[in-house]
Amino acid sequence: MWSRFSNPAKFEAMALAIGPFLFGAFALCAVFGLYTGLFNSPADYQQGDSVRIMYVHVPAAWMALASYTFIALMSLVAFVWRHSLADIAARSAALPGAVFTALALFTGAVWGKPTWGAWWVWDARLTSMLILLFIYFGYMAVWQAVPETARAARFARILALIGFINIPIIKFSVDWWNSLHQPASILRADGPTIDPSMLTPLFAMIIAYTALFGWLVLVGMRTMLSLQRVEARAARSPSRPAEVAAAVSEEGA
Amino acid sequence: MMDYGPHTPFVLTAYAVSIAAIAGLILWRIAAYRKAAAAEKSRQP
Repeated sequence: MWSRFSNPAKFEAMALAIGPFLFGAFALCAVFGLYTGLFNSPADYQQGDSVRIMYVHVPAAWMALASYTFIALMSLVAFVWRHSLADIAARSAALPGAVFTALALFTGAVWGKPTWGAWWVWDARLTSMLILLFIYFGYMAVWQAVPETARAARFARILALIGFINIPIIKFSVDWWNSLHQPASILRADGPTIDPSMLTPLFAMIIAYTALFGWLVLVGMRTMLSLQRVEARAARSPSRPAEVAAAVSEEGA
Repeated sequence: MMDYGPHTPFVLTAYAVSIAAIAGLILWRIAAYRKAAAAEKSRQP
């Protein structure tokens, strides 16, 4: 299965085919989720209308964890199977993952103020999410700081796999420690505890963010493959064009 | 007009920042891809 898309040409054909569907799913679900979340879902009996922040906070938090899990999985695939695209996939997921983590922290703070009376508390869930943001920054910094691609990839894989320890800590932090943050209300053994009128827009937004992540990773991978081809051609020619260096630098992680 | 009482600024800020960040991410990725594609095209023999 892994080797099927190790050919960049086959991968690009697949990315071109499914990219528009992912973006379409994102657009449709986001419009539906935002409209329903803002206008059609009820206010919470305890939190009032501030509960509407849930529809942008929970999907961002979900994608923060899912993006990092994807990076760790791709790093493992690169380590074990030496898959040619695994490192590129992991690297492409880092920037969206960092943005989703930052959004989860920001929207959480904006939700926390009217609900808890504080923008921030050094709570296990919040602190472990902040650590995840720093791990994302570290992962992106490794790719930027180490000039030799093979060495950068090795360091980045090791960091990604070590950093994965934080993911179950985030997930179970609300069970392991006393926390202001509410316990899990969707992924539970006895089913979600949220009313369907709130669960529907929430699921729509989760699907929207997931589809967007998929699209962003595919576009990022195609960008990196394109830059790799340019660099390979430039290496064979006497002068390295300035626009290639600028493009590589700007693409970042 | 959306009126969520005392929670209006919190709700609108959360949505505005989320939409802006996601739009920025999409535009950034498209711009980077176009730049790379242009560089590749200019280097083609």
